[in-house]
Amino acid sequence: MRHTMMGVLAAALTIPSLAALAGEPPGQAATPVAPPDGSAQPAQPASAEASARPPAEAPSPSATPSASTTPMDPALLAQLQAAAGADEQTVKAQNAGALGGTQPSAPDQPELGKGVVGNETNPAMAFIVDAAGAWFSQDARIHQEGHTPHQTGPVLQGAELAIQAPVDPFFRVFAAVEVAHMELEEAYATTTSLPLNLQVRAGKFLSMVGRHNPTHPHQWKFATTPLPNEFLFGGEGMALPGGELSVLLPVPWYVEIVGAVQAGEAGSYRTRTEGSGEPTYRDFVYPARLVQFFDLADDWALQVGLNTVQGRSSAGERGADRTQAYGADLFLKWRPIGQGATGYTYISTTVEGWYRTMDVVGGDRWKDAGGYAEITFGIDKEWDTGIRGELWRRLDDLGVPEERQPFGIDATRGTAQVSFMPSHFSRIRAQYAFEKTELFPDNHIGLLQLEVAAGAHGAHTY
Amino acid sequence: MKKLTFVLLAFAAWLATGTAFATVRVVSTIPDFADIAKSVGGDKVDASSLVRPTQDPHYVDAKPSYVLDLNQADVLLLAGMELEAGWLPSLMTGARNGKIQRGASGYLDCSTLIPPMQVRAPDRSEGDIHPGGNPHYWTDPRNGIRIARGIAKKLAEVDPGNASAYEAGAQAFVAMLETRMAEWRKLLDPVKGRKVVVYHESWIYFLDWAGIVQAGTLEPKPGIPPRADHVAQLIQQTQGQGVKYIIQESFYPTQLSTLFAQKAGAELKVLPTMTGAGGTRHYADVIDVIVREIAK
Repeated sequence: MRHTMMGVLAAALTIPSLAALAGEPPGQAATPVAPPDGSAQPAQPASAEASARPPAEAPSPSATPSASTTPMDPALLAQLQAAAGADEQTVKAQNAGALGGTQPSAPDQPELGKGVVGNETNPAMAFIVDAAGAWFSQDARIHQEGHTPHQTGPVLQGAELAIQAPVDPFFRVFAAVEVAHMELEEAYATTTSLPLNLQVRAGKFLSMVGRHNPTHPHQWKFATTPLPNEFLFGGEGMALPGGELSVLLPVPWYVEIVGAVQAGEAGSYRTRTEGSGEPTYRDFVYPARLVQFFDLADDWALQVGLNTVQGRSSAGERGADRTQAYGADLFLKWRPIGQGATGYTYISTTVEGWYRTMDVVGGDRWKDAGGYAEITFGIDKEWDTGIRGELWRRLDDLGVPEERQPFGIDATRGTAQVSFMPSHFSRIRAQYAFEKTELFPDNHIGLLQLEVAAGAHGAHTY
Repeated sequence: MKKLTFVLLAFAAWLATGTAFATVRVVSTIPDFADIAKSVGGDKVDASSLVRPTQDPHYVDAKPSYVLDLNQADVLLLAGMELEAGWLPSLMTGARNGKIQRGASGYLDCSTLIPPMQVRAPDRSEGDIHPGGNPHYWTDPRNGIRIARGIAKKLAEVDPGNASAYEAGAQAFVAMLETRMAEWRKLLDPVKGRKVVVYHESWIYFLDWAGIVQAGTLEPKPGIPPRADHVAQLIQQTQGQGVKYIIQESFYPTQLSTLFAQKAGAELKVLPTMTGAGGTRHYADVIDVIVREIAK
């Protein structure tokens, strides 16, 4: 019964092929599918101008194939044609009345105003699995955490259940649960209707700073977190409970200012905790971002962001315990969408840079800077490729005591990837990286990643 | 002091935005609904659209500049059936505009106005299918009529003062379209039952109205790019069926289609499906181009 679910096309495709298997000549097999005189049509509303036909009489996809696969009874056909003709007359009469303006025309009224179709009131759910095989040439190297593979062999980078839905006209909700480690990555509500172009997010969320931090692995153009982002915000990125206020400025181009208060520990930041290790929720980390977008042309776009994160150092002691980071990012994309362009050819460039000072036990202050630059080429619907350079440098003379390593050592990494996407919901990615650091031997990294996303199609941000 | 005055004035101007509109600002995802809204609303509406007519409406970049359009909108018109699911929700959230959120008065999912075709079980092994139905419904002029009436009703809800103008606008549009439909019918009747192969299943509503038969699709499954083996199979299957045309939108590549056309003795037609593509200026022009090309 599979083909009855699939509409005209599927029937047209499957049946001749089955017939071909049975050894029938293609010409004969094709006849019942699409009779040359178009006699399958009357079963559908070919009575054309049936504009006022109520939806109940809509062509049912299951009815169409059955009508077209069995030979048409001429008597029935005549009957149907007569009925179709009668319908047409009725419609014409109705329309004439409506156009005369005496009666408000009321076709299809029951459908209007419903506002929601299908099961759209249910939250959209997606289940995304990232499985990878990793290979490292050196055991002594920087060990990244979070979604980035950190040992040779097979690794489950993530199994994420993402749920989102508009709650009502006033709120939207999003949650991402990392099933592989049973961790709540994000869960927050966003307002959609506040006055003065204000917006509030509340819950646990990835801080809106830089291009990389707010994203989940399936949005990445590479299979790994850039080193500088890991040094700054940890392997999972800065995803902490708190509240965020943002505003869209009333100017002719896109300017958004975002500021948040969040509590907890992420990379070089840790807010005060109770004896139990729980955040006090009286001490916060403050991420902020100013982002501007310039729609240069249909095919070109430029986004520029300025970022800062102010908070308490995760390596400090009372009295001298600030971590301050300042960053900037740039995103430039060329994607032709004019006549004849497929929309799958694009070149995008992302550059994100940071400067950070971090107070540490003993009264010292580490000063570091780093960032990454990447360029991605969309080749067609199925292929893309990209290269990325990552850089981190210590700017002070304090050396590299062991406790400093997780927060950044001099490192340079070059990464290249090729991705094949069989559909919009699956991707196979091969990635190679070369890593040079001040503490370890040169490291080669090979990765093969498979990503599948089942369920609702999540909406992408820019 | 001057500076302060300026800041206060700017702030007052900001407060004033969004209150008491002279014209109803309509933002549509695809250009066709915007064009219909202009026909229905005349000078009472200011309609614009986000998707370029030459662009695949499934895959649109959620450019933040679209957020600005949505931020200022009184009415949002969308195709629905998940056509815009990959990009519109994040824009709507970013827009911070309560009027156009789902369930609010300025939100109109135009797929609720039409009888859907190909409502299917949500099984992605069948490709990128839309469980709510095939979302390419606006090239069927019967649906154009339904959409115009729906938009008029929505505009009347949002701007009750001009309800009669919208009603009249819709009726004029319907009358115009019905005249055109009679013309088109004359062109189509002689070629009734003609067979075409399509690249993506964006044509079923139109073909259903036109009485043209879809003999196959180049994509093996919706959204899955065609492969040589599938096209070879299709050439075999459609042999002797007299497939006249292979039709597709401009945003799909044409190499395989050209080859198919050669081998199957058909002709490739790259046709517009959205207002503004292929030199069209209005909604009815798009249907006119499709009808004339297919009836050739």
